[in-house]
Amino acid sequence: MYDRQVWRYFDWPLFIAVLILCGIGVGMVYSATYNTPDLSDYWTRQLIFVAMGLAALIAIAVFDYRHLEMFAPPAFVVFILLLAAVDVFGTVQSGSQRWLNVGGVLVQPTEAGKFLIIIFMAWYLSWYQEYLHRLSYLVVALILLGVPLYLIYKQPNFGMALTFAFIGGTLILVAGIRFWQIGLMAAGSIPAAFFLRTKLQGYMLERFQMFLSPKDFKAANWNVDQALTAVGSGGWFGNGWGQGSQNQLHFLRVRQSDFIFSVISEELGLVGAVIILILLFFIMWRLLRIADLARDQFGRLMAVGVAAIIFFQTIVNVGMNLSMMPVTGLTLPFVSYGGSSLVSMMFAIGLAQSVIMRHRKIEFQ
Amino acid sequence: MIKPLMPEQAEPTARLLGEQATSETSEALERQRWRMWFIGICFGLLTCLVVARLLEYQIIEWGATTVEAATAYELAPRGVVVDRDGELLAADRYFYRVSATPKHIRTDQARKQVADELEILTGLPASQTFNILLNNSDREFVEIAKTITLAQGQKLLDFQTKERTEKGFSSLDYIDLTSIPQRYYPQASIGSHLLGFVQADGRGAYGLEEYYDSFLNANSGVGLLGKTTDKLDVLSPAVRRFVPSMADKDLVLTLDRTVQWIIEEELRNGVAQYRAQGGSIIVMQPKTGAILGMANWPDYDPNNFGVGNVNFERFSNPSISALYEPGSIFKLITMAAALDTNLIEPETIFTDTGYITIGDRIIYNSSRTAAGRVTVSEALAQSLNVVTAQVALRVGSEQFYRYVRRFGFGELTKVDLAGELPGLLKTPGNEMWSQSDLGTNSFGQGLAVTPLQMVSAVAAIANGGQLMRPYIVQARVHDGQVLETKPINVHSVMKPEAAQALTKMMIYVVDHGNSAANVSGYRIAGKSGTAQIPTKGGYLENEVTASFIGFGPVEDPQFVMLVKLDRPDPRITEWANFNAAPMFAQIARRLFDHLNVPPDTVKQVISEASKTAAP
Repeated sequence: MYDRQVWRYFDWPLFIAVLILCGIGVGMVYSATYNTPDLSDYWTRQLIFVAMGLAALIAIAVFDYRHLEMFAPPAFVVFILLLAAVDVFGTVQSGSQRWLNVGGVLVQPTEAGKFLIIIFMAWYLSWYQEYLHRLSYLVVALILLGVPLYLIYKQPNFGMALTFAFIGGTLILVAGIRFWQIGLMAAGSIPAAFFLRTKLQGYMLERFQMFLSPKDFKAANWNVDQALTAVGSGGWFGNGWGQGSQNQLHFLRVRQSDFIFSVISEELGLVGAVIILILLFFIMWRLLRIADLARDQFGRLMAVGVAAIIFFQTIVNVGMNLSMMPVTGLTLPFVSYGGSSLVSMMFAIGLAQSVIMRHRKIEFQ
Repeated sequence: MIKPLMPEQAEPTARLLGEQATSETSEALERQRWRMWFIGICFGLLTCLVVARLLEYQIIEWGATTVEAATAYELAPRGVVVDRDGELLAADRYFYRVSATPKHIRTDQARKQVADELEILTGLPASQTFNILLNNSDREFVEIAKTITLAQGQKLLDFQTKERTEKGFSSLDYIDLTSIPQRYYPQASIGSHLLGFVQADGRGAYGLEEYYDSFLNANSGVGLLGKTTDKLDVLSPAVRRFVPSMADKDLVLTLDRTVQWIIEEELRNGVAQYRAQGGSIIVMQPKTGAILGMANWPDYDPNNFGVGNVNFERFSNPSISALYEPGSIFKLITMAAALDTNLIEPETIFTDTGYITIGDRIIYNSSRTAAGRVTVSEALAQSLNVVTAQVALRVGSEQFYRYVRRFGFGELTKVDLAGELPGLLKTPGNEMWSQSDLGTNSFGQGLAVTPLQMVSAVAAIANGGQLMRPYIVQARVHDGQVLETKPINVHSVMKPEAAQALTKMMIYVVDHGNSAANVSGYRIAGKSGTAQIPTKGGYLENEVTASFIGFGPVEDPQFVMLVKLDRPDPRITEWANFNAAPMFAQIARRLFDHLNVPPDTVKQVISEASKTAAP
């Protein structure tokens, strides 16, 4: 299965862009935490996470992605069962039932589930590719997406549910949904929206309202205000690394993870923030290129899925920092502090690398 | 129309890995690729939107939000203040502020758990914490306690770390600790008016904290301005115990904590003994203008400045901002003017008839008697108003007020303390001035001065006629550099010979008039004054300011000191000669001890011994 030859098509620009982002991430985590006594070792931890992520990336790139097709359906079933188990036996932490205690270690199934849903949706949409113009196959796809979505929404983990919906939606769109089907779905979503409005859980509704009319929620908007202040004080080149007053004086909460983009904007300015965005967009472009070159539909959809997830997290996270989006707790890919999010992102890049490394149908020796 | 291959017929059976999609039409593939790149373009457009927003916030509206960011200075650390021997007078102490994100603590059970844990770890009452969390359950931020000690905070942090390493999370994950500097004055009320304090918003108020607010603030960007700075090793090892501090913006004072302690204690005792309403004592080095001590009563504890009803009046430093009529001690200035213009000598004889008419006012001696023919020295010793007025007339109003101004009255001394006032002075040319004012001003009534102005004027007499600017900060320390304050000679107020003659007269005063101010073994020059306090209804009988000003030892003055008592009880004694003068002597004795000044007799022995040993 392992073939030295496949490394010829390893996407080095993509890999290097990811490495640069990880490097900036470690630097910014250092800047955000080094003068906080209880967080001061976070940057070394982040460094270890980067190393773990790289190992995962290489390992999964070596692995032939086409074998994943076989694992997709059973893994999906296991995932659904896990989510159901969380619902029934899960540990409540900070008000959300997201964690499963496995032999003393807390596992959050949804974080890895993001990628499972990509693989599974890619499998389903490629496997039944020819039938997709039939409404029944589409409805089944929506139901298969809807089950984990509902379970995650119930936890409640609104941000993750949105991510799942976005990934599924993008994949279905790319897989070749007909326009009349889109029209039908849009028509169906209008009553659904009214239904959801009454059923939306209180805190989500509040977050949306807060986002729509921030002035009414002064207290709840505290962190968003602080983030905007940080961004606003950046200017062209920022206050310098380790010099942001909002950051260094701890006005920002969760500055090392959810609000790291504010720290970057404050300390590295517009130029730094745009470089981050360009790097992320470059990664998405490389992923779409991989999708374009992929030899099969499964690989193509997987690459699109990975691009979609990176795009979605970026836009939601940055939007939250700039108060263009409600606060959802999604991290900035590769940059935010956090082991599970970083390693799973690197894992996803590994998946795409696996696709591009095997995009030639016949390899001449 | 014939449809292309129907999907049903292309039953996907037993496909090989990677051999799928064989039935894909090129049309379908094209559509798919087009959609994919369409999505890519959508991604790009949304990213551009984000960049546009960034441009708006960071470039177009740049500075609009920095006002809020400026609040960051509120919590800035401040440098330490130490006295000349490095004793700590003001420093930052760190506390932890406990805050929470109640929004994420959703159930009553979780709230109770957090509240209980906090009570066990830090002693914050659980019921109170629970209510705070419950009442703010929709908020992202709430303060649970303003300050807990570092030890308590450390316990909490240890608990969080332990839980996180064991379980991966902590039950106190949504409790945050922020370290907060709080100003601390280890000497409590000692030097309170000099130091001032730091308000809750982090700004310095009154005294040094206000005057040097920007310098002390570690984030202000204000550094040392002088070109000639020294390295840290110019500071004594004792001073370098606390300097440089973490904030690296430190002040070393000219103040001597022991001097300050002595004068505060004696002032407290004196105020109690003579049942005065308050008082001030200032001790200054005449040769440099360095302030060694400045005590006021009543004082306050800058650690607890805001408890109960805050009366802001008690914070301002009476030594530099309380105006008062100095009374007879001001006769020294009249004499200085006359001596410097060679109009009198200490032995010049005047005739005191008991009263004198100047302008529309008749001036009497305070004793209401006539002394007859007396020398000016004797007139000063007996504090005769009539003779002093005669001297002032001889000097003339124009010259008299020129000297008053030259001694620094009516102007700020420019001491480095916040809240100084210039005093009140009516001079010829002012509509309110009349000829009679020359007479009353000559013995210190009808004008208002600050105690520090009085001290700095008399220091000029002790310093051979050179007026020095008073100062309290000996050195500023920042960034490994030390900026020492160089004594500033404001100007010459009188000839050295005239200053010497006046000193002689002041010695005569202590020897013959204010003998209570004598310190055995040392020669003291001085003058007492008992001034009536003006009110709206005129001067009040029995309400006086009693003061004594003097310096010693005369040969080589180590200090000039003013002792001032406000409204001493007339049933005990209102006369400065019997309250301020003995207080002066008592303090001077202790200061000579502390400053290691040998008595004149010992000095004579030493100098004679060295003369005989020399050849």
